[in-house]
Amino acid sequence: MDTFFARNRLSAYLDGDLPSSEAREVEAALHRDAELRAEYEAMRAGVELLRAHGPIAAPEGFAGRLQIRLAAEPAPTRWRGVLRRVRPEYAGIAAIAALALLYIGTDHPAAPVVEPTVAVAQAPVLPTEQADPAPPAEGGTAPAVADGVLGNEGGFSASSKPKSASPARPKATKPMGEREVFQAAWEREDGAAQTTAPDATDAPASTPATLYSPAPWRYRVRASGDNPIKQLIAVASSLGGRIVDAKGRSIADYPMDEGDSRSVRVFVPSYNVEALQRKLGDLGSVETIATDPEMLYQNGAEVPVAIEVQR
Amino acid sequence: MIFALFAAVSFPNLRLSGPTDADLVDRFQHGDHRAFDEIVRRYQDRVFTLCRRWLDDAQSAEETAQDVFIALYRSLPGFRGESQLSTWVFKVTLNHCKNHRMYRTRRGYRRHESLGPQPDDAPERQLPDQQASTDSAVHRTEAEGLVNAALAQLDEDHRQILLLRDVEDLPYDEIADILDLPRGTVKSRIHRARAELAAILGRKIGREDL
Repeated sequence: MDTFFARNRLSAYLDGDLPSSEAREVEAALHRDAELRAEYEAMRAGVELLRAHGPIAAPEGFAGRLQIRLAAEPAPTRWRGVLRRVRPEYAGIAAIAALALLYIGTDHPAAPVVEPTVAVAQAPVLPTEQADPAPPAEGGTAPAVADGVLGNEGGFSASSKPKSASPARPKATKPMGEREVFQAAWEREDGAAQTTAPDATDAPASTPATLYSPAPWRYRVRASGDNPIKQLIAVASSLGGRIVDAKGRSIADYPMDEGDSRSVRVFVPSYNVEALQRKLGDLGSVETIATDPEMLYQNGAEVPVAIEVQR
Repeated sequence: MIFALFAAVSFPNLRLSGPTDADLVDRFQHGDHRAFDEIVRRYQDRVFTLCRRWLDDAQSAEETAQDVFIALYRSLPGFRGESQLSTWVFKVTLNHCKNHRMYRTRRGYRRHESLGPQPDDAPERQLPDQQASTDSAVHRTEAEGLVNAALAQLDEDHRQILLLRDVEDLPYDEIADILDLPRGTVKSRIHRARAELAAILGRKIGREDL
């Protein structure tokens, strides 16, 4: 065996994975060639370093913290596990097929031109380019929500009210911007729709689950510090998140008097929601209003956490 | 006693005490959720090690490791046992680590830096059987830093295969299953990764000696 072949077998020799005849030939080559021997020794030293210092014990309390998270999990079922294995592209194809069947099954005098709305067309991830959406006019009414999934079922706009018995031809809709979707969802969540959209009570009770409505995690914090919003901004920033007020505007600071209450929404990567919850405890006592463990596993997508801060 | 020794040497995967992974999965699938606690106990160090060596800070590593177990908890009812549980666990862990890193890269995320001492500065708990009694804390910290720095310089394919082989101590066949690669490719890639690691360490140690 020449040096070239021996060199290519150094790793397997190190693992004891060579047939005995080849192992003997590598040994002979190592004996012959000082350069090859140096290469082998360097490789062996690297492997030993990794083996000696590679493994790390999980931090203390790891299992306990995991238990807390698991306690919020619904009991897993076989069907849930099977459904999770469905590949996203197949799920997409199935959704398109279902929509096509639905379309065929309804009475259509003419093929309508319907632009997809945000709630239908987009994956449940917030657009990051519009981190600081332009605020609506102060004191203005809620922007009208188009007849998309959210608009039809959320019922925040006049256009979503059932019209008189006109032909069942769907109208073309404008795509909803992030601000409209966000605003509608926020108002529904905070009950503001009653003042800004009187016809909201006409809406059906069930609403579609979009990322925007309602916030999957909601907490109430009774803060003990002087400026809890400022503390919250620092917490959100340390977790790679951002914080907005009820109108979707970024907040820099907000001094609060004793007895004040303020609703904000923090957007953080999904894997930091638990960390955010822990850090809220530094601000004061935390009351969990709602959690949605189903949304925790989102591969780091940015998700909203609604927080009502009371001082 | 002799039989036990013989079995332990001949069948390293055979557990003479305690249930096998397949038993635990079966129990879990039949409603015994305490079986999952045992799975966590069995794999938490190995999953955390992989996350910690892949990601650059302990907090992200812990969060990712916990996400791995949450994902396993949700998916275990559908686990068909076509591969070993460990294969599946490591596959899920690697996917989570890659996703986490990719997400942070895309967001341009940088760790929040503080002037105070960082938790990462402290030497981490080495597994007892890996810790030589003569090692001083200083030596351990230096070696830790060397390992982290060297692994960070490897490309992703080389890093993951070295972690699986030399840190997790997995056999070639299981690595081939985890990475969906032929066994021969696994062997050659391990060889190249080790050669690259040796070169990096050689440069680092040489520079520090100067």
